[in-house]
Amino acid sequence: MSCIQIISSSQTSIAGHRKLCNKLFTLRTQEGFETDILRALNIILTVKKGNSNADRVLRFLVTFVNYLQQKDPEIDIVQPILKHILRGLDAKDKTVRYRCCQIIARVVNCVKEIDDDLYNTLKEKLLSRVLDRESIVRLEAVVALSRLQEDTGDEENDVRNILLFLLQNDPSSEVRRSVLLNIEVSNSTLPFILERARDVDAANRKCVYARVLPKIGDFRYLSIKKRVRILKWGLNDRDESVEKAAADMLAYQWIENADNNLLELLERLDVSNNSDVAVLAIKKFFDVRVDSLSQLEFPEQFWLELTAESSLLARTFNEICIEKNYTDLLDKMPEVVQLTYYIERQYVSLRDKSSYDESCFIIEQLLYIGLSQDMVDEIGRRKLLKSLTNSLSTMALPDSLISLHIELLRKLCSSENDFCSLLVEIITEVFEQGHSQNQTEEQGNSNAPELNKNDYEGEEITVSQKSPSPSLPPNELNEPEPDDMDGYKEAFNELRCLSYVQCLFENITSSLNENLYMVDMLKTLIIPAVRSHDLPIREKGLECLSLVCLLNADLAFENVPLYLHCYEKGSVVLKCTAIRTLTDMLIQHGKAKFTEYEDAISSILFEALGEFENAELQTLGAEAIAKLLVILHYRDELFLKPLIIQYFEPNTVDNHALRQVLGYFFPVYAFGAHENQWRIATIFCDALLSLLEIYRDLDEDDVQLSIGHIAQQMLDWTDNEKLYERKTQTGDDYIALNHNVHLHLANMIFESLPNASEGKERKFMISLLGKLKIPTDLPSSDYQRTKRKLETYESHGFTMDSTSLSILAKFERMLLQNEEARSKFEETEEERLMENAEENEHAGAEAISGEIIPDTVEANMEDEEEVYVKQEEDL
Amino acid sequence: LNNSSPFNSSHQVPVLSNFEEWIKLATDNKINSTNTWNFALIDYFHDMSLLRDGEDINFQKASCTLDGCVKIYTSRIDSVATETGKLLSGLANDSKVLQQTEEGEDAENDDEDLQKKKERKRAQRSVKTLVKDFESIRAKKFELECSFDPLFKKMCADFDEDGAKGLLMNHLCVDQHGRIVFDSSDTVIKDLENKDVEAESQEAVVAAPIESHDTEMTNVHDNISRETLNGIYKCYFTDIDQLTICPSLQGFEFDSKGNLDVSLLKSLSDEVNMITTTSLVDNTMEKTDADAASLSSDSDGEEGHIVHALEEMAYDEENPYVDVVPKAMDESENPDFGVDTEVNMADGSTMNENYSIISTAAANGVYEYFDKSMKKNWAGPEHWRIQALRKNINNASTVFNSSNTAESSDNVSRSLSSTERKKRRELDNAIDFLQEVDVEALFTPATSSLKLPKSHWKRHNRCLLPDDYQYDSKRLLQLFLKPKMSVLPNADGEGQLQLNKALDDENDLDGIQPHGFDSDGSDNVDEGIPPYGFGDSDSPKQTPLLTPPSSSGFGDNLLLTARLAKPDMLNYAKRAKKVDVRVLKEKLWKCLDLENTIKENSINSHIEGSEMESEETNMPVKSFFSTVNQLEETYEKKELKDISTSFAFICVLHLANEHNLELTSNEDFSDVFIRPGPNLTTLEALENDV
Repeated sequence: MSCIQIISSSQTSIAGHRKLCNKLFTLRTQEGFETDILRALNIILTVKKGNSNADRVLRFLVTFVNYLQQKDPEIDIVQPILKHILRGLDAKDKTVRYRCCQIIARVVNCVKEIDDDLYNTLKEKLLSRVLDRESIVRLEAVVALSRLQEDTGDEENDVRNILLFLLQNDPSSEVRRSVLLNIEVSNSTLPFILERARDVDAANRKCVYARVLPKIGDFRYLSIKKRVRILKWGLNDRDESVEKAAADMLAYQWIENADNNLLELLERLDVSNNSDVAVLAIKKFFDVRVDSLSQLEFPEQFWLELTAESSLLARTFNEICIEKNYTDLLDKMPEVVQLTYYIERQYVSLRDKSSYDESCFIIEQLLYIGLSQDMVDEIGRRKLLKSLTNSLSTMALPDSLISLHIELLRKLCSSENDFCSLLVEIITEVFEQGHSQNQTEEQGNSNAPELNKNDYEGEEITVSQKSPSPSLPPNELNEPEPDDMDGYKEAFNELRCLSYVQCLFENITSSLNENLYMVDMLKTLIIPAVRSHDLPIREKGLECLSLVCLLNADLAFENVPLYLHCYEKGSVVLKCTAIRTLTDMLIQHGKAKFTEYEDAISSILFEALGEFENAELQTLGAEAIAKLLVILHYRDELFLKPLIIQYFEPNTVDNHALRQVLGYFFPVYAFGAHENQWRIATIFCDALLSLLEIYRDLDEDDVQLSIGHIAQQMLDWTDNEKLYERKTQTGDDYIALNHNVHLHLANMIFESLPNASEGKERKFMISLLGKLKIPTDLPSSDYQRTKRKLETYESHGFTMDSTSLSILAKFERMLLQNEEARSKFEETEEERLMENAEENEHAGAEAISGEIIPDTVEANMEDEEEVYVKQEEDL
Repeated sequence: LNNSSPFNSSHQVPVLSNFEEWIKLATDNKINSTNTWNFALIDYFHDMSLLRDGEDINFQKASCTLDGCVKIYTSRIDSVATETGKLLSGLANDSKVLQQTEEGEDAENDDEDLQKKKERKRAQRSVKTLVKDFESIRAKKFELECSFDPLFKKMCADFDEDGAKGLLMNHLCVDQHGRIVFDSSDTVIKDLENKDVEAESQEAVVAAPIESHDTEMTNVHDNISRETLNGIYKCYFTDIDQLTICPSLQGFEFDSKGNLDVSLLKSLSDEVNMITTTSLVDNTMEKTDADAASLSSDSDGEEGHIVHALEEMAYDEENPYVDVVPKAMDESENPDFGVDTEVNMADGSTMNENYSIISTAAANGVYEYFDKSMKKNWAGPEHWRIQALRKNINNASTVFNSSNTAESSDNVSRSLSSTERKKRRELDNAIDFLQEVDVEALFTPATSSLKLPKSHWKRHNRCLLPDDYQYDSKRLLQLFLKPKMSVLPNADGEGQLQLNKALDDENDLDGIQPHGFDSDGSDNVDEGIPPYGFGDSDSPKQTPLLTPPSSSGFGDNLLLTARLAKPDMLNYAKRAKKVDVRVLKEKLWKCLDLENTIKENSINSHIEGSEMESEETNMPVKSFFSTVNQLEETYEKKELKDISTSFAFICVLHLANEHNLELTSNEDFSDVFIRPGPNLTTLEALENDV
């Protein structure tokens, strides 16, 4: 058997490669051995990608080369092969280049040493090929080049630099993936690799989590920020596969690096500042490792020595059990009484400067647990209620805790009246403490050096009855001087009261705010706060007032000027508050209540939408408008255009929140109701012209979106086939015809063409006509109307190029055809209607719409009823 | 050195703390062999200083402490027993090792012999630890839970002994054979292989019973003739138009206050002495009903929203038949025969209330659809791609196809077939290495640039996605100031608020659960006693076609039991009489007025009076019934009806005990004469006087 025959036989299967290698090895000394191999390689170079036989041959050759290196090291066949293949790297044929790169990649892996000249030549050629126009070439070149990586300085490492460049900029996702999988992971390359977790390609993102990150090994080598970001990106990924890969990484790789200790893992994530990510991570972890959930234990020592991490774990565990109805596992949670005790222990820790932040966080988690607790236990209920009440009255809690406290009180109270009464008392007490200017200091005896459960039961009454000395503010208030301290405390108390009021109103839905208690608070607390010159107080007061306004329509109406003024004169915070309030009031009470201020409200919304200096405000404005449009259809004709413009505005490219808000809004708006499509079509051209004006002055390289792409997207919004509801309701007041929306759009285009400033713009607008989906079943009058507008445009005499003329011509012909066809149909239809005017057949086919058919059915039913009556009589 | 102070007074607080802690541990049975030696509770118990309460011993504490001490003592003994076992085992093994060493010094014992002995020993032990046959450890029968009938379980759970709802005939259903199915194991729903098969099977099933019935009924059973039918009609149903199921409950309805229909009460007025309507008894109850009605009305908003949501939910139905409103095509689709059983109780919003839940679910589904469909197009305009948003076209057909899909092809065959396809593919892809190639042509350098133009490189964003803010319908429909409140948009431009989470605070916090219908009066099956002894004196109703038992189709013996005894109906008091005995006694005592009479008699001194007169004067007599009749002046009529002769008599007896009265009956025992009882002083005085 000759050499060529052996190689040829290897293409069929992989099973006999070793035997073939052995046979081929015996022929190494024959004349022409090397020549035959090179000849075989030349043939392979001609084989296109996809032919698996070539791959098998290459596998065999590689296997043989390795075999030869082991059996007879003196025979050098690799270098001749490489020298020969290098000639093909510059070949014109892409297949040749591809195969050459492939061969190099396979062969280079077999040798440990290569001469410098060959190495340099090989590297240079490969550096050129990684920039090849063909992706498959680049793909293999990357693989080959990655074999030539050297540990050198960044200044001189050309291979590494080019690989990193490809990783970031290659248009082919496959190439990027190849680089990602083959590049050497080091400190210099790790940042580049990690950012691929947000690659546009889902497969690449998956590779990051499934393959690349495991190569790093211990996640401790990553910074906390990197860890958190990696988890956040992965676990919240929209693609399920990426999410799963990230979850697996967390549940298997990272947890092993943390000694299979979930707490240890959490400690490495800085849960205090990244609690949301931590919670998500825990949930995903237990989704993967379901069996470990039941193994989790929470002994008393756990609760006594709560840490930020442990408390978060407990809270998350509780949430998981509730979500998945793991009632048996919920038994591991402490009783209400026990939970109350744990919370109170953390209250004591709040007095400690060093552990204040941590204690606050722990309390927050415990309160979350309490929110989901079963409050059937009367003792537990009462104890918890008292504890919460006392803490609110005597402690200066952060706003987050205040909210949770009050929400928990709402759960404990049987009715809103009880809740209101209780919280009003608390507020009154706090307020009186502030106005009396009594600086209540925390008693030394109040500090509890040590608490345990046995002592807690014995000391329960004592602790609850004594004044807990809540006078002193937290450590953040220590800098003011004694003279300023009194005033500061008063202001602080007022803020507390306002915070309580805010939470109160947030947790009630009834009209209980109209009672005397609410009125008193409005008069004595909220309104003075609004009038306060202290900015924090005024801001908080306005928020409270806003909540009150949501409960009372009359009050809301009266305070609209106030919020308008706040927007005009106030700070960014006040502006945001004003927008939120106005928006909510409109939603809550209806737009009819505020028709008097419609223009004013619209004005501020416009202003906010155009506020580029403050992204948050701009985003808020956009969101507000979006809500109003979706919910109330509030002057949507007026707001649609600005939203579209802002959505595509190049200056908003960095405002991702805005774009995501609007990105969700537009499909929902457009496809949620067929009327909305019509509205979009109406302002289509106007918006597009405005965008053209904006993009005119921009360099194409500086813009990520083309105007054509924008137009295509807007056209998609008007696609009636994508409507959520296709039902055509034939009502007395409203009839929706959504399949003629593009025809309407065409009309708008023609009307707007004369308004174009440049011929180029007109050309573009005309090109849109070819993209419209014009139905053929529209009334002939519609087609005629459009045709007239076309003729009107042509009468203006604008200079148009041949392309535009062609499009117009085609469009005109289409209109004519449809008009003619429809006209005939209408004529026929009319005749049919006339013929069937006497017939009142019960047939569903006659119905124009589905609604008509039910009416017909109902009519028949009524007839049957009449028959029933008659039948009864017959009985 | 380890103790800072030996005095207990100096460390009284720590001692008490330890004492209480140990007591608690002992009480909780947390004492074990590990910590039992650290407890000093026995020492404290021996000291008794903590057990003293002044000069006395607090036996309660002593009892608790003694109990704890005994537990500690017991635990310590157990610990010692364990340690003893360890030591004993150690000694035994050590001695054994030494003995083995001595045995090794004997040269006469060959190692081979020793190994053989060891092997024999092992063989003996293995026999002890291993069973010789698996049959000896095999379970002959598994301990299985008793197989149960799910229907039976359900019936047991639903049964209520107080109500007719628990009747089997009320819960169980009948099969196609007319049998009440209780054994649910044999009753199946026929499943056909395919649609056609299903149809055929269905037809066969339907046809078969019909045919069977036709055959059986025709061949086996006699039929009711028309004449017989007419006779029945004439006998029983000549006045059928005037009949109802329950005339007394005709039009019965509860009002908002729980009031009963007055007509109902009137209908029963002849038979029932009096029926008290709940609404008439307690006005407060009526108010409560009104509040309940108000609460129910508060839910109208949600009901309205539900209705709207239901409409929104139904608009995405892709099935054309779904879009078509069902209509009656056949006569069988006609409603009932125009019989108007409607009572004027319904409101116009009645139907809306019924559909409130459905509407809410439909509204939520709309935005869920968008949340899912926009999963890949969220980043922004630059990441947008043309894609059809609706993916549910012909989804219903998919369900149907799945149901009718035949069994998948044989996997083995497919595997083998796949192998064949692979072989063909390999054959097609065969490379001919004997080809002659032009090397020069193969390696011809490119004349143009092979590099990718710079314009194709993605450099504007590094192929990265922006941060995902997870914006969805939840945020879109939320209020800014109240995130807990969601708004559902509608076409009218007004939103409807909805709580994100239903909060049943009242139901969760209520200590008392709402009363179910399984109350005393909800399902009363009590035989009861007819009111006022309503017996069988009512005229019996005429029965149709009475057939003598001897002529029945089942034979001569038609009765299984003898005549049942008819129990006597007893009258009883429905109201308890409330009588203030004390008051009654006092009033009786005043009515008696014996003391005054006695005083008067004692004061009076008659010269002219005879001795008899003096005796009469000194012995006043008062009639019982006359005294009782005087009570009418004292009591109101309402109270007077509760007073009976027996009550008065009891009171008189008590008065006799208390005031030393002497009671005597008249000849007819129709009355009792009351007089002061004699005493020694009186007797002596009388004797002296005499």
